[in-house]
Amino acid sequence: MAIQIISVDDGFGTITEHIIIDRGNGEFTSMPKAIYDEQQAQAEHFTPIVTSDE
Amino acid sequence: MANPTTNFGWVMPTSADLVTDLPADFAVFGQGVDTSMQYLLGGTTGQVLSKTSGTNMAFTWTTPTDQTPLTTKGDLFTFTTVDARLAVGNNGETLVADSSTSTGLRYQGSQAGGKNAVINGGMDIWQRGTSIAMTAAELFTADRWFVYRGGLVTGGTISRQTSGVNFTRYGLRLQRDSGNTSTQPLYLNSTLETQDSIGYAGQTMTFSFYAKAGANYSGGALLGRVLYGTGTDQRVTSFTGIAVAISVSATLTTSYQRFQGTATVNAAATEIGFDFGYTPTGTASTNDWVEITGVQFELGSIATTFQRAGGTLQGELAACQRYYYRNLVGSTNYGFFAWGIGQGGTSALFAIANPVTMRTTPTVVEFSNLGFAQTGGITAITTLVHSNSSPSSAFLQSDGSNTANTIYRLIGNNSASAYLGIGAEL
Repeated sequence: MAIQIISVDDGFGTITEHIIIDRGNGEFTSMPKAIYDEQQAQAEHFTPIVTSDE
Repeated sequence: MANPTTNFGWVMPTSADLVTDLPADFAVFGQGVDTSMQYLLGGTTGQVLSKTSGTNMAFTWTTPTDQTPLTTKGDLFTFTTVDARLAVGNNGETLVADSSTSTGLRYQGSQAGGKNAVINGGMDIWQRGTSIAMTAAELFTADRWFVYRGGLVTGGTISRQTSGVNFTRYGLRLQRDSGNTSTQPLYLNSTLETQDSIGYAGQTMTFSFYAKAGANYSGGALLGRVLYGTGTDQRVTSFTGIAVAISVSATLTTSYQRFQGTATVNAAATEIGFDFGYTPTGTASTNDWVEITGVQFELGSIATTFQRAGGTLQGELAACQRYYYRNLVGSTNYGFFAWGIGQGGTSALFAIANPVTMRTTPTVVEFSNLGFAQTGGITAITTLVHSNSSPSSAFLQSDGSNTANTIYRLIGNNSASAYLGIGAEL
């Protein structure tokens, strides 16, 4: 899996950084870098909802 | 008093009789009374007097036919051609008119659309594919269902399976791959938007689901939970102030069983989610999995018959596409996705009307084997991002050399597996 960051101009003067994830099997996912960073932060700090079979 | 008496004609002694033949006169009087009352004799416990004709004193003792037929709690007093009993229905069923039954009434399960808050609880919609390898530690699987594994471990597969459960066709199988040695727990969850959650705050709710395990299942009880938080539109794994509203510990067998729990949701809840989890043990064998379907969250203290949140299959698909949709090309290698225009250089724009208005402006693009072309000669795409999208349309910007102000088609790049997904998930 390879990740690259690109800057995209929306044509109205706003430039946004996007993440392109190349999953290595011909599949790609893109999203704004800010969203990606937020998801990564969440993934690393998931609330331990179920910790055992209790 | 008249003599004889006015109603029964009983002859009473007269003043002359008192000095002539009093005993005989009383005998006449008494016999008259006795004859008149003879119809009141007889009968037995529970019987009542019934007129046999319009003639005076024409009575007979009869057993009343209008006794209650009710025998059991919840019975209803109904009528066929005679009084009849209608036994109470099953939990959660409602009474409907049905002229084909002897009483004209019938209990049946509720199939009201919208009673279930869980979108895709029947595991009908799998826009991302029906078998998904857990190559990342967290990912969406069946629509609205997100899976992740503790410690960000991979090594699982999520797949669609035939359920055999009434009112569902499929179940979701959450499987630890054979040979996987990690004992990190596996989780499956789904989250409601805040605007879909707040109505349940302070309400008595019932959470129900069907589940079973594979023959080599290594986990303990499967925990199914309703969780709540006090934030706004967060994914359940990141709820502010997360707490458990309902917890159901399901001891699984290799056959589907229905499990349920009821509780009052905290009045402060502003977001609600659903979570399943188990912790495997040892090394996974071939059938180390759980299957889940028929997930329902509804008002009241009874689990009623499962029904899709969207009512129909099409309604359920539309509900899912509020969060994500994926366009496929089917069996065509050059299937069409969108019209666009070149900007010159290496930037082209493509516009798509979303199939339903999405939850919010979409931010995610998922794609595979896409390219653009005018009349021939496809330019492959490896970059495709949202530019000025909105909840009702996706406006995408791609890479690839092009000619300015030229119309292009966004199409499959010689591949029947090409797809384009647009995401606005929580």
